[in-house]
Amino acid sequence: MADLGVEFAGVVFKNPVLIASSSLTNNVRQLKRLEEAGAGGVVTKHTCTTPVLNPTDFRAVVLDNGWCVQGDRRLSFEEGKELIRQAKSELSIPVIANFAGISADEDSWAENAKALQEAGADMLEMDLANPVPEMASPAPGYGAFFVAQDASLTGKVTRAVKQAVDIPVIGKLLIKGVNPVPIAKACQENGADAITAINAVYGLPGVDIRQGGKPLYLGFDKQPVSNYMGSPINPMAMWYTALLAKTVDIPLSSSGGISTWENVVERLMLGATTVQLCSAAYLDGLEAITQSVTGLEKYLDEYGYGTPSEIIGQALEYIVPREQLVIYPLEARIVDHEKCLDCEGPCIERSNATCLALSREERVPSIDSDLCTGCCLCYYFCPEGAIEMRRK
Amino acid sequence: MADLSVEFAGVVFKNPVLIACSSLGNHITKLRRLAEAGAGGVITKLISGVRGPIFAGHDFQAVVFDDSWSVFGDQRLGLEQGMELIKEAKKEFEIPVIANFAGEKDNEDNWAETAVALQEAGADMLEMDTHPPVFKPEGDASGFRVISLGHAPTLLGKVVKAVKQAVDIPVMVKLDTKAADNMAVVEACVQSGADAISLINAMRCLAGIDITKGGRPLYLGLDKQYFSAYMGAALNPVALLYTALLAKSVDLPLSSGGGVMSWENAVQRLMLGATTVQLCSALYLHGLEALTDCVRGIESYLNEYGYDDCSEIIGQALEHIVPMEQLVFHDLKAVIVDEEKCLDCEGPCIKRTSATCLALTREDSIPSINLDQCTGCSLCYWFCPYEAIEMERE
Repeated sequence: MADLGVEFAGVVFKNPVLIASSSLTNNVRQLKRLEEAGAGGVVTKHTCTTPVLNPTDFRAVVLDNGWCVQGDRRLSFEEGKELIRQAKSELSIPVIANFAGISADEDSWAENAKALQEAGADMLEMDLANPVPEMASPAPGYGAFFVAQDASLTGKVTRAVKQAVDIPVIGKLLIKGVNPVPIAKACQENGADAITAINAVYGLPGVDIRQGGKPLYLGFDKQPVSNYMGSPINPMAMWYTALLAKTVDIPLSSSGGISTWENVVERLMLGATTVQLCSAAYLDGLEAITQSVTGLEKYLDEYGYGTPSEIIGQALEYIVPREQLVIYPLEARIVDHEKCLDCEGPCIERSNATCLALSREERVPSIDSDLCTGCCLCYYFCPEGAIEMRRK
Repeated sequence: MADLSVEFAGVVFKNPVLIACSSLGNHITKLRRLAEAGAGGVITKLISGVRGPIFAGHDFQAVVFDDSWSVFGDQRLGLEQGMELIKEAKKEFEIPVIANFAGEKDNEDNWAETAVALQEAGADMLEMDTHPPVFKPEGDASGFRVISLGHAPTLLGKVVKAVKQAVDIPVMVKLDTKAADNMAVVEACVQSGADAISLINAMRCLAGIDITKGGRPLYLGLDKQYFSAYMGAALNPVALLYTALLAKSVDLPLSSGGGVMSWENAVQRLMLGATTVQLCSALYLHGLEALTDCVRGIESYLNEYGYDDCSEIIGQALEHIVPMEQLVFHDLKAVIVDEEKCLDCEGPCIKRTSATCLALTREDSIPSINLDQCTGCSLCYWFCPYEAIEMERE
């Protein structure tokens, strides 16, 4: 049996599946449920200095894939410290405190960090998506400017927090409008022990076209920017995980769109030491946590790995800059005419806007290999596995 | 019957559904199919004004997820090829032809010359593609970071101005990935005289890795991978947001692409301020029917709701979009409104909220909601397959 334990920035977790900072982690009852379901660690809900941002509980719009959220009350400083004290007395898994200071004022960040360490946090996660009102965009609707959009503010805050505490410090990044690499480097250069990425993506869940474009949210008549999360952001988060793993040296906690144990394995292979689950637990319940952990374990056993560390970063050798890529031309071939005969022809119907190579003669589709560009669409569309892509 | 036509940056389209720049627009046979399937207008594949070898000189390869997909590569057209395609298209069909193009890096003379050539070939409108890389940032040795024209506002402004001075036909600027989030870029387009903006372009992603093969790419023609273009349904919420934000903050007409998969998506884009929409992934993943359905759906919608033309809904939803500070939260409570329906149910409201909800419990077979513990999050409302739960304002 594989040992699922990982060491992440000096703290040992029984498995790499952490629960991301969210309202899942804003009270001790839920934290206990998360631990019972198998979480390796928890990141508590954002604790901030008064005035508390987002004074209301969150509201959701659930989409076919993914979901959008508005609000999500942060914890006041007293609430946050109390939660950590309770969690440390009732849970045995590590408790990471997600927090921020006031704007980019480093003294308030340092003070808060110290207080959370004293409350018993095993590790701190700096929520760098903290608004800096004096740098807000003048354009209407665009809203806040965040610490994580500026490398020097990020560096200043990180340095102050690191000087104030002894426990490990993680910087949680944002990908809004910025390349996260310089921000991650600013964290690293100023002593941060790890990076968390990615936060939610900005989106709008849609408008009600039957009611003149009103919000789909039930609790408001007008809507601003929403947080967009869940499985649709998985491919984006994979890219930023790989990019950060390639460009910074400190360990990563990868979040954003992890919905299955396969996603967990992918993130580890792309260089993350821990992953953070969130939407999966909101949308599929506690079972999602249990399944990620047991799925990871089975995978390691099946492929003969002793610990997660054996797969961490394994896929990075296959990620290279654009200039180093070798592209092999492909062509589609119908490899199994038996299977193909049973088919209604999605290969032809679905690719009728893009493909010049597929045509139907009697019942069997045929592929003109001179016209096949190797795009692979028919390969994915074929429900019977009758088409294969071959390198030319 | 509603009139679907729109005027967009001075050009009249018989309907607002354009086909986005892609390999759908690299061949006259495909353009003809699109025109026949009802497109309001077509945008050609990127035509490169750069002399010599063309970047991405290979056909695209795809990895398909549910209703989203990721693509690597997509061969560009050379200038001669592009001009020939436009000439053929103008000869064969009536709908406007928009030439998507790029010049050499930030060489404004090359951009302007290319624009003139495409105007002479007969293009009705130009779409400047700003995603080709212009330079690498100083001090970055990783090779993973490149800055595109679309993220360099000063260079972009200079190039747009040169193109505008060179041609008489309308010039639309297509924003690069995430550039809609950068006010300096948007301002550069406005200040230098662009006639319209198109957004949002593909997002960056990694198409996944094969966990049964040590993390190799899922792409069948690659042994190693770089980031890919991420497109399809997953982009819809992101594109909705930036369409609304741009419509709120600039006066130029917008063409909204990225994740338009259905007629409902198209109507939402119009309501959020776009004058035209750009279809792309829907056609790659569902075929020409997606285009026909989209145009028909908009028409039925306008008829059903009593609108005479598209302009009556363009921007209609913008009054409901506000900055965060102006948001008013109304307290909500979940209520089981139909106990008949509720009884039939297996309980996804309870199972799926087991990590987050302290209010829902099951006594006998009927779930009950403890109102003191209900935070109004609305998840159970979305999860209930029988619409037995309603969210009530307090």
